[in-house]
Amino acid sequence: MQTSQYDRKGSCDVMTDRDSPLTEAFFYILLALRRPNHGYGIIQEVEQLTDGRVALGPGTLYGALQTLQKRGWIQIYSVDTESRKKKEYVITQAGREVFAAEMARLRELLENGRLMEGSGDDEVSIVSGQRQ
Amino acid sequence: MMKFRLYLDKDSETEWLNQMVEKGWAMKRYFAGFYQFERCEPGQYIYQVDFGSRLYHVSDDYREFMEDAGVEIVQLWGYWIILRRPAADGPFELYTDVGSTIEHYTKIRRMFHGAIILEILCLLGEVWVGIQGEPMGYAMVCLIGAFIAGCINESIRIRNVIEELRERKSDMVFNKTKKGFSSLLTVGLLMNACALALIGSASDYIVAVIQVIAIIMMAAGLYISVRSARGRQ
Repeated sequence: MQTSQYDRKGSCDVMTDRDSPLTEAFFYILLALRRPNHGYGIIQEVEQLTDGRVALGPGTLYGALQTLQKRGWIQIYSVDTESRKKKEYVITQAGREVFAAEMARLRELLENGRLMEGSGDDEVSIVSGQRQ
Repeated sequence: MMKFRLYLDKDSETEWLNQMVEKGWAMKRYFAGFYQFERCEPGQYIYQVDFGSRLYHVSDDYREFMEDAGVEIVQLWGYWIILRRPAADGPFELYTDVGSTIEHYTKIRRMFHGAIILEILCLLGEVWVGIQGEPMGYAMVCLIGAFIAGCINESIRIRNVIEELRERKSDMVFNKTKKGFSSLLTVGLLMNACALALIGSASDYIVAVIQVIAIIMMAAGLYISVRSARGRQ
């Protein structure tokens, strides 16, 4: 049984996405940092992984890296002193835990989502969401 | 080439800079409303405007990060950071998800609120100068007043942008307050500022004519603003 390790902290804060669920950007950045990677490397890897669907803007990525560092989910791996400085980041243990919790949440969604497959159309009335 | 523009709205500014690139002009420098352009290949660059966290300063971290992503920092101005990237490197957008875009606009809005408070303090100072019998003081009052109206309008615009983004993010519908001050009011204030500044140096007749027009515009602007604000409730 997967009970979620994440509890809802504080009130629903719309401005800064608190821990759970992870935003798509955070999810993919953490994933790209399972091994050391630098800013532009993250953008490229995420683009590859998603077939170009998720293209991280530099502003979004920069802000996310600051936030993830502050939360202790990622850390600076190395600063290459020779040639050109290129800051590399890597995921921390805390980051891995958050990622695992998110995976558990997604797995639950997916498993519950399967209920839909066995259900007949006539029994279920669909209330359409309003997301474009 | 030099062009003068005053933008409070960074989205229109970005759009304009990119239109200029389409015409073969790349912005190179900025100073107090003056944009200096250089020739470039039409469509060579994509410009974006970012908002920093400190005045006229970006961290080395930010600088390196942008450089690494192939982005050039063209100009720092106040909190604003004008960036560009060769269009050949693909589409260039700074903020690609709702959360970070909201954060970006929230920072900008906070800055405008700070600016409005400062301007109101200046305005009060100039009112005092005016009371001392100096017409220039009232001219400044009108000028600052016009600027305050512009900033309030921009703050309202950003608020609406943020609300729209939040709707997309949380599936909740927020009600928006549209409309700020009518531009007639702003223009009227500016004209009145000119008229007051001209007292003594131009003929009384001209000053009176400008002032009458200005007052009509301000009154009409105020009326329209109040009516549209009421109509929304």
